[in-house]
Amino acid sequence: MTKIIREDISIPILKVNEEIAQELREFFNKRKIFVINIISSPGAGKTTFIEKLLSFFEKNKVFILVGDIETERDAKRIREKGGNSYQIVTGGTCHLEAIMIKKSISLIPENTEYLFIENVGNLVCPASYDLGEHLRIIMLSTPEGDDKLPKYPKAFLTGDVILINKIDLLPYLNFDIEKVEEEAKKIKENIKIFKISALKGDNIKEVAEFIKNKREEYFKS
Amino acid sequence: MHEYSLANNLIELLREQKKEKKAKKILKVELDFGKLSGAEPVLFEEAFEILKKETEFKETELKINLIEPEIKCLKCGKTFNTPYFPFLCPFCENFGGEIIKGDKIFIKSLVIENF
Ligand SMILES: [Zn+2]
Repeated sequence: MTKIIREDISIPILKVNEEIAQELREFFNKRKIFVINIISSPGAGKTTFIEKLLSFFEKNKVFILVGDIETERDAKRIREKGGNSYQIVTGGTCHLEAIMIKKSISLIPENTEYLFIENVGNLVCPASYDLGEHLRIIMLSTPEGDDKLPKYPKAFLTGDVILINKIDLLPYLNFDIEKVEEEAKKIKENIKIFKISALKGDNIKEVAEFIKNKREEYFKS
Repeated sequence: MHEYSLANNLIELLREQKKEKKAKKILKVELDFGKLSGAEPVLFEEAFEILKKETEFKETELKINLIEPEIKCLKCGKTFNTPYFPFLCPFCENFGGEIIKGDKIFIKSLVIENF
């Protein structure tokens, strides 16, 4: 006799990712590695930003994981600037998952204090995946237009920091930076915003200081 | 575009549940699908329908309940529903807030056939 029953359960569909992310966070905490997940659209300038940011950190204390759909290009660019980096090729997947980070942690050198994760260029999918990070940076760039926040609220909602990149192009664009700042505050009141130019190096030092302070604050307690 | 990846996760979880519950078949799976999950229900359904064909869940029926976001105002502490951004509290007109429901996808129930 077969019997048909209904069972009520409550399992998040991303259960496995959530469990691995938690495991990763514990690992990072034990090693005192502060992890920063950087999310943006393609071409917003993540790689250039990381290249510039590196000059404010001691090279041997920073490790960078780069997620890309199929090329090794960005990691190579970072290595050429003297950074320790490794590319995770996602094989067509549009986001990084905690399991991909887990497979790469053995590459992280002993004395690493900061791990930057350059996520796959995309503002939608990466926002749903916790990678065990301590700080989530969402980057947008002025040529993308000033309507990104209402279009991709989830990304900005899960972020701790917004970087508005390519401010050097503001004189040539119709980009209302005040409107963007106002909208950001309406999505998340306490979100931190930096207006930067990764190319020219504007305000990168301030972002670096902010990250260093966050690490200190986090591991003090 | 991560709906395929999510549908794959669902299939993995169904496998796990089937084993755990020693079920013969999973006839139906019901999801609470948050409107702020970042995934498109239509694309998700399509992905599941395609992927399930290669699995033991060929006959599993998918039901999606769309869940409206529920926000807790950080100023007055009341909760409210709103499908739109920004989150504007109707009680104290404060912007922003904490999402307490509607930003994830959950398996809510299974209908299983036992031996
Ligand atoms: Zn309120």
